[in-house]
Amino acid sequence: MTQFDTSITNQFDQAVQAKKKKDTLFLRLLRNRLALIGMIITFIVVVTAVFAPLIAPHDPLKINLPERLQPPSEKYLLGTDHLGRDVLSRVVFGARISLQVGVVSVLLGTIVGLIVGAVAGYVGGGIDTVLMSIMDAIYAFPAILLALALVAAFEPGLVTVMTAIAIVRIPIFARTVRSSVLAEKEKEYIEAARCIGVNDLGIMARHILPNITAPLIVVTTTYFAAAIVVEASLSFLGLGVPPPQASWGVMLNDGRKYMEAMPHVVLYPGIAISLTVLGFNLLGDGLRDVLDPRLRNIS
Amino acid sequence: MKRRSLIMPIFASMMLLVLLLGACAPTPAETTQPEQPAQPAATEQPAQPTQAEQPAEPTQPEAMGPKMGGTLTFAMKEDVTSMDPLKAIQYGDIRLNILVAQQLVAPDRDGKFVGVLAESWTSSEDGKEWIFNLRKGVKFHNGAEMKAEDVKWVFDRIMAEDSGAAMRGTFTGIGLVVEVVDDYTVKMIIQSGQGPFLSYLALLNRPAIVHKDTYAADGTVPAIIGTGPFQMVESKPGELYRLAKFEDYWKEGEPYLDEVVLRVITDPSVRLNAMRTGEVDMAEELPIADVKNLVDNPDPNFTVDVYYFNSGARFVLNHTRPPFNNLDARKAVQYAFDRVAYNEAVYFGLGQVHNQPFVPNDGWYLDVPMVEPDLQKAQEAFAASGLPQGTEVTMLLMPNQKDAAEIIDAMLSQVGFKVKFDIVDSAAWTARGQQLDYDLLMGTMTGIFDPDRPYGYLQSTSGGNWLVGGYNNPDMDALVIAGRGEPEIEKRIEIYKQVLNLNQEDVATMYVVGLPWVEAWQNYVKGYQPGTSPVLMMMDASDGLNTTWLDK
Amino acid sequence: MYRYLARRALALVPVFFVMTIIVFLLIRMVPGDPIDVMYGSEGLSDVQRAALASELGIDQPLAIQYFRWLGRALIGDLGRSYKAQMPVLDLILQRLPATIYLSLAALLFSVIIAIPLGILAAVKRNTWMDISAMVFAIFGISLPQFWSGILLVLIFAVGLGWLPSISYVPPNEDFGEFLSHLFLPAVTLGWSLAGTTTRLTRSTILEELGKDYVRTVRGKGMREWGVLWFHVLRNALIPTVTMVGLQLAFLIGGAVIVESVFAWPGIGLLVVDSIFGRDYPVVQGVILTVAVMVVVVSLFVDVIYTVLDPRIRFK
Repeated sequence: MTQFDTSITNQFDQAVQAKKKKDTLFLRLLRNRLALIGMIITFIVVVTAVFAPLIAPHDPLKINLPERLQPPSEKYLLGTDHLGRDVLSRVVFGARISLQVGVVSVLLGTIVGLIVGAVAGYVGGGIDTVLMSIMDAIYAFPAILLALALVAAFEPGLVTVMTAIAIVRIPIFARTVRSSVLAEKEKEYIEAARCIGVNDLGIMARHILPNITAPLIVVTTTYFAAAIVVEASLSFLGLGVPPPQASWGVMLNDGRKYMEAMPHVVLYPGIAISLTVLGFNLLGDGLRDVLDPRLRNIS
Repeated sequence: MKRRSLIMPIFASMMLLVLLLGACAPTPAETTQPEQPAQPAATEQPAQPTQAEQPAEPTQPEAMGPKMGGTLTFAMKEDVTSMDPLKAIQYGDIRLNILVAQQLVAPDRDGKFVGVLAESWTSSEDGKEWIFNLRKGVKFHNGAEMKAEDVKWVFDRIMAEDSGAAMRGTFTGIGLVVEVVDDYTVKMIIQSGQGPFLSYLALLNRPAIVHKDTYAADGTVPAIIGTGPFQMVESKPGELYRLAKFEDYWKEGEPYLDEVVLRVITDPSVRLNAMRTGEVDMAEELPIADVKNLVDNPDPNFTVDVYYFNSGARFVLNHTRPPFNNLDARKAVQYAFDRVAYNEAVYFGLGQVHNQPFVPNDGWYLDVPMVEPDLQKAQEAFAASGLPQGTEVTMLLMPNQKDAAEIIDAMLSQVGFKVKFDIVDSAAWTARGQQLDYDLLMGTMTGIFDPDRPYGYLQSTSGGNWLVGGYNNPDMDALVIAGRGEPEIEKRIEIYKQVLNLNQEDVATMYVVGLPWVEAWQNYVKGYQPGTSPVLMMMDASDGLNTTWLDK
Repeated sequence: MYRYLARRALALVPVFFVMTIIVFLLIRMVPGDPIDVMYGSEGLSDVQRAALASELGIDQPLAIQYFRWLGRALIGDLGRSYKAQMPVLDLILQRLPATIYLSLAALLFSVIIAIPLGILAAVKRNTWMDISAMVFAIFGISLPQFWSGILLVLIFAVGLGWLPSISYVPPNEDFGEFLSHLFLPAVTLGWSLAGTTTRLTRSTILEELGKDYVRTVRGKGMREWGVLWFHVLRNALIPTVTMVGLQLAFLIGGAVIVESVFAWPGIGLLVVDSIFGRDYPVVQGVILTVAVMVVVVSLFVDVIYTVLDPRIRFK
């Protein structure tokens, strides 16, 4: 007569419990070296932006012509720009504008893309075709040209720039959401939910959406970085964020004329952009590595 | 056992390179500490209104004389917007046109009008009848000889309703009638505008005498057929325009060059780099900070010249709506605007601070004292206007004016204004400007030979009245009209003095800074002297690319 | 398979039309019209303005303008440029080669560097090699092209004098010059493309490596490089290849920044100049061309996809 040794089962259970604890999202993220670096960098950038007035040693807007274009010194740690303003302070405050541009345009793109993609994927049929045609048409445009035309066509300003950047990439969000929705839609648990009587909106909100966050997060972090660069490119072409706000992109562009004589004016905003983009992308990659079940099996 | 890969060292070195570039930047000489902007040397010079800096560059050919042949590449800052010579308004158009087409008369370096295609002329007492004796034996690029009927054809076309010529309004406004007297004599009759009439004929090439075959049947222009020293050979819009020597040019021996290539490079830093690498022989409008450096520390391979002529930046307030329909509000701006600081910020001190768009040694430069900036008076005027602190005003800007924006924001916020900037491209700027949809803007003007050109806009019915913010004052109208109709120079001077005084009292518009014009050429380019306008050949057909030669 | 492709082609037709409508409307919404560009600050009377507007055809109702343009475009007449006095089609054909050479060179550069790098990064996941590769990729994505372009010019053209800094020489004129002028712009553009491609390659390979069949193959005893070469790469590279194909289509209009920095007379620069110059026929014509190319390339990519991935063939 066999008798189950419950102690072994208990040990087994305990082991599983312990592994579960270790495997929470955050801890898994921390173990991923790339994601860790990404998190740290992102954290630093966000903190800089939020606490800018406390961190910046000088007024970023104060014009001081006698001290223009000075190399880094004790007083001005990263030198001064062509109007005598402290580069360090401007880079610090620039974080605010650049982050703002990135966050708002991505948020806008995500929300609209989510709605469009979810509707197209879930409802299907004619609506799907129409919506996706429009999305494809927007996507097929060379992004920078579309953004340029949009900014030129509407009232100039920060809001327009952010909206244009968002519009240009809504198709990516929409497509990602749509394909995830399509995949989830066929699964059995949705069938089950319908049987119980949950209405469409409920299904969408409570069942499908949570399962598509993984790809969405990845696309979001990727595009965040791209948004900052697109904004800089718009400034280069002539239609970026208007003064006196200075994003890093604007600083890069304004400082281009002085690049040879005084490279620090463009070097530091350039490094800031690169680091921020690096941080967000690493974070996104890390999140994807961690969230995507298919990637967990890699030794 | 893992193999060491090369990737790590490569990236490490790339990162290192980026950082090194920052550390090893050439430490500039003390030139980056701007001295207090002294007046640039140009103003002290006698008769020559041009060169601020002329290193020992002999303008007369040396003993060995000019070498014939060669191709010269010029980096243009803007593309040609229209091949139609009668619509040539933008800088790019003018650069091209001046080399291939010419006018009847033009100003020389002292501002006096001399004949180009016209050998001589006479006018009646009242200035309403003019007789022009044309130069004989002048050939067009297609071989035909220039005769009086060609001149008449051009002016008739300008005044035709459907040709879209830029000067139509001007010439029909003065009631111009052109008659052929004989093959080489033309009579022109006008009803008004006797004062500036010659300047109208000389205006930066718009009334250029071109052959009628310039226009194809459908109205387009495959190539401009003019009388200039170079003829058009190839045109690639947005990229380059190739001109070849015109063998039958009416001035014996000119031009020396075989070919001129006008290359479009819109970015100033790119133009500068192209000069440095030697890929272009001449360039215009380099980044102003580099210009300052190059003037102080000349490059061994090329010369940079900063010159001045009648032109200027003009600060414009919109008179047709609040807040600037209020004189006190305008006075606040007038007293707050520090021209010296503006010049320093935007032009690194290379501009000429002024209150009228003429250079000091021009005959039309009038002795009218400038209103000095005064922060206290500005604030008093602001208080008197009754406007609340932080009143928002919108400034219309083109992307290349961003530097101006920030200094203006600093100046005006001291007084109580809050400036919102709308950056738009130039077509939108023009459109919104014409609709007077702004509070402030900065305009520039160039190619000025006669006071009627800038001050004419102050007249409320002028087509360019929007360029001064829709200013409307019957007293000013009367003065401007009088100045236009007066043939005697002494009397005109008196009238325009009153115009300037009224302008300052009423803050119609503010003439702020004379623009520094920059041209650069490789040291092997000889025989070129920048003109009194942004043109590649003096308008009187002297000392430009027609007498330029390459010493290599 | 043909039915699948036919369906795909049909689905792309509305995309084509929507694109043309979008550009048509958008360019007209920008304040200022071609007349403002041509006449700048000269005061034109209303009569003159009206005459010019009617000559240019811009005073008609929008719908009429659109259909007129579309009708002519479909038979190959893209109209005349307001500014350049030549047919739009000729203008586009004049500028297209420069852009195509640049795009191909940039793609080549990016693929040669990015794909091996992505593979390495995936295989050595989470090591310093992976991080370095990612950093390289990120720099490519994060440095705005005008910045990296001018940096390269300063180092290689002005500083070292090895390469020219501007303009384009056709390959049939002087092949050596063609290559030397092409180098810096291609590298600038290619670097930013390489960033995306590296990351995509890395992530798709990672995905494949996590799949069950890989475990099976490893279990059977195949060595790592065999796994990679014979099984994983074929599948992982499908998305990458399609992405590269799409990049080509997008580059046609999107190389603007690089073209501007290097005075490279391509299509991108043409469009931007035409937007600022309100040269409606040129903008519309170029976007139409881009739309056609995107459609064609998409279909082509779909064909490749079905060839490479049998599962699609049998849908």
